[in-house]
Amino acid sequence: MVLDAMGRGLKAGLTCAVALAALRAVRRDGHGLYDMARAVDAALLEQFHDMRFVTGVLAELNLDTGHLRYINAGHPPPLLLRHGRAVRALTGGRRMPMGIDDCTIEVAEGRSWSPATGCCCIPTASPRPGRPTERRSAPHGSMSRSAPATGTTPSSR
Amino acid sequence: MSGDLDHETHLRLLDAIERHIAAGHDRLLVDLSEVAFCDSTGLGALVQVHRETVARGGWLRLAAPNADLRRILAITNLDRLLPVYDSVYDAGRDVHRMVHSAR
Repeated sequence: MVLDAMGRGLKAGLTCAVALAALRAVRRDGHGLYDMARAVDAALLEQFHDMRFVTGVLAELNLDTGHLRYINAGHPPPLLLRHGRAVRALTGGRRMPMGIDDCTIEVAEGRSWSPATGCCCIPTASPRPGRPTERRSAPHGSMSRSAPATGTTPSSR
Repeated sequence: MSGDLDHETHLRLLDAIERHIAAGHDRLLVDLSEVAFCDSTGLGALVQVHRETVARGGWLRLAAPNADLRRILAITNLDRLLPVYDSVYDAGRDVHRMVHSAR
């Protein structure tokens, strides 16, 4: 999973910590991706009275079959990499950021691929535009940009 | 509104909106054409305004966001929550149609 709480500093860190705790509690109880995302919605709405949300991607990868299931909660799409090159954006499973009550979740199913040759890259950056002076040449979600991270990386900014 | 909507400025937006809501205005159209930049805190402020207007039976609509902001609203899927229009004129026409058909 990758999480990115809105805002910055301690407030964003607390938001991310509550989201992470909710995800782990539900996962340990044996529930799946849908219930995990809904648990974060409930936890953030219950714990904080001001508006807070967390974007992120929740994913399950079966290493034996290469089958990927994922939910994208308002985050830039994960990228499928083969031999270090982004070959496809995974654009399914979209819902609003967690913390905004959204029951219209579809868990997306990824095509099987060989874990030996392919991997999945989930961007950690929040989906915000750069100011004109710092805008990158490639936009978020572009297939041409470099891969910042792979694997499990909870983050908060 | 104009300028940047971010960590530094979002409370000014919320204060201004609070005054409108306190005055009984709970159907709000925000013209974003002069907003150059919006970060995640700014998005959170817009969602908070949406919640407060809906809780009073009203709504929030967004008009004329620039290309960056429109893309951010699409990536975050917040355009499912916050209706977005190309212009204030388009938003006004839609509101007029909605009010007219409700009669």
